[in-house]
Amino acid sequence: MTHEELQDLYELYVLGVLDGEEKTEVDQHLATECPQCQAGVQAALRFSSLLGTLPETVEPSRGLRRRVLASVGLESKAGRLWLGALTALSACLLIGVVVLSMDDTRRKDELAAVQSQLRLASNDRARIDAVLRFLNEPGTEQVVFGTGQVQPPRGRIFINPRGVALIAANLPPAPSGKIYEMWLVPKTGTPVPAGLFQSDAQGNALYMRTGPVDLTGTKAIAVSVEPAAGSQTPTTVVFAAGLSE
Amino acid sequence: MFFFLPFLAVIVDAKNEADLIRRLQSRDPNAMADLYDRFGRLTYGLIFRIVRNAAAAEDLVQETFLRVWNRVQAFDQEKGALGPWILAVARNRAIDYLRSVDGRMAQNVFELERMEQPSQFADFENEIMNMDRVRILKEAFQKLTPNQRIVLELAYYEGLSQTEMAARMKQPLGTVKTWVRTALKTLRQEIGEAATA
Repeated sequence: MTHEELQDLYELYVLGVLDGEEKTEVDQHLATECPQCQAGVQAALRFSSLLGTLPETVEPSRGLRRRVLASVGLESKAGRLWLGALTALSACLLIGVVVLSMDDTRRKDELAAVQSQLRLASNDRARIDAVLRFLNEPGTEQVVFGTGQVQPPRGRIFINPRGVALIAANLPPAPSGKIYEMWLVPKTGTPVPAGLFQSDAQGNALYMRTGPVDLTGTKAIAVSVEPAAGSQTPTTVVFAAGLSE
Repeated sequence: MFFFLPFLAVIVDAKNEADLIRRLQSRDPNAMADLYDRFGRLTYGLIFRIVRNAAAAEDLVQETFLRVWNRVQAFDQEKGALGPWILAVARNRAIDYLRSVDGRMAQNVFELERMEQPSQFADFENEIMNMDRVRILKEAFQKLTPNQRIVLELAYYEGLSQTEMAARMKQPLGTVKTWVRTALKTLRQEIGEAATA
């Protein structure tokens, strides 16, 4: 197929709706880092983003903004007022202690640090809630990994046909410019990327990837260290956990 | 003198956006509020069009913005445009959801993610914020034949492959492919002509 003929396929390719030989052909061109195809794909992405503006504007509920901001810890969720009140009380106590014990300059720094910690705590709470809901879904299986090793990343993987969640400890933050990437390892074929995540300074990681999972066709879940934008094939595998047959 | 105003607006817009990306990368939660105020309605409109369910759409909007927040570190603050990236993430989340509801799980599920890597959005202009460009596209879309409009909607809003479209529409695959290609070509030409006019 010539590049002129491929021109008609890039939009469908970036929309993920190309199939059969045509998809294979574009894949093969891109795998060779063909500059014309790269440019074609970028142009198609630009074009497809414009298609996203076609729907009429619909006003979301007022609560959506609050929910989105709550997910990064800026505002508390309306349905969790008691938790918000508890957090606010803790904040007041913490801030009170700080205010009484610091001079003006140090006080500002400490206040900022306390506020930042509270925001992070709120963000973590939202993520933990989401993972807990996932764990309680019917059909969720769990796999333990890292037991019996001297200094391993340890943890559990929870998986069902609707997604996969990872809880890990002893997993140091990936170095600057790097990130952890999860992979679904099929029984046949190459590993499939399942999202990027980072562990915290204490070496703990909580990551959930929602989206369909072919449980019967998957033999393991792996985690590797990759460049910040992620990779299409695993580079340095940190650990892999096999699923039960 | 007023001739320069549109160019000035583009420069100011790009500067504001670079600043917004910088603030997101430094984990300033207020930046998330600005991001939502700028793209929230657009994102919700697109996702709602795809899933046609308000509750699911709101969940997916939240997931979209959280994903952007978690991945913005890899975004090039000088070269990238947030709007196209957010819409790509939003559309992919919604199509993922739709496929899982429809039981169409296997096809290209994780490949969608490849097309939302921040690095793919380098050297982009924020064309989705260009109201003239959006208006031209909407007008061009209305000029398409009914079948051409249907196949584009099936591809973009339902994530159907050409084979699946042919089955859904009970039409030969070749006919569907012709409709798709003609529709895309027409839109490309209209947008291209407007850009060079």
